Amino acid sequence: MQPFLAFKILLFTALVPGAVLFYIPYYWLVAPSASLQSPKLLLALPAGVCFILGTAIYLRCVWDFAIEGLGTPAPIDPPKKLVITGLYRRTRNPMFQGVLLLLLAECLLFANPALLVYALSIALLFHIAVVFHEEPGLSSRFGVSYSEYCRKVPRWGFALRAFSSDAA
Amino acid sequence: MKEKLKTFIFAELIYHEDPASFGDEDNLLDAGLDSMGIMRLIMFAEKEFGVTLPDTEIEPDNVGSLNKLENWIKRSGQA
Repeated sequence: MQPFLAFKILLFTALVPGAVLFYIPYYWLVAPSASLQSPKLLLALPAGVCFILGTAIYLRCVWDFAIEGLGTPAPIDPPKKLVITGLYRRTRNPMFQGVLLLLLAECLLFANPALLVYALSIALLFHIAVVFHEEPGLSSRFGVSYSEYCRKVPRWGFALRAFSSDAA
Repeated sequence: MKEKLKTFIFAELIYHEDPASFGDEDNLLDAGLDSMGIMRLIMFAEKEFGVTLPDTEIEPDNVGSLNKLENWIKRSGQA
């Protein structure tokens, strides 16, 4: 991976997922209610599983964006070609799902109702962003190949049969 | 219903369009309604008209224009 591309991905990760997962929930929700001092240890195991899974999914998606698509997750510097490898062969939005798993890990660990409402709002916002902005944009950029991909790979679900562009 | 929606949209969500010249079939997304705006619009409609708008039906065919939005709210109210 080119160093400048890696730097841009790191910067994006620190700014955007960093804000969604850490800065906003911590400063706006967790810190004022002082719940950060009392993480629920009973839920630490499922929270840990969600954290590891979410992190692995996010890193794999970023890797595919960089190596296959030669771009970043940032809307101002997207992949140059349609990324339909790795997890994208089975679900259309694994990166969002990885971030939501990380949010779920936080909800489990801190058992904070405000955090759960925040996570559900973020999930709804992701859905709206995907349906109203990302999909129309990808459709106009990649045309038929994206339509074929959408027909075979679910937006949020998980296809049992992996998508293959050769079979398209 | 449509006037209430229009008043809310142009008071809270879209600032650079002239409401008087915005038609009921004009595209709200092209006018600058963003993701956060769509979420606020749905929350407003649910509270104002006492309906539940299913998350699975949040799509351009239901939110793309004032007419589409009004039809969606009426359909959801009847369900």
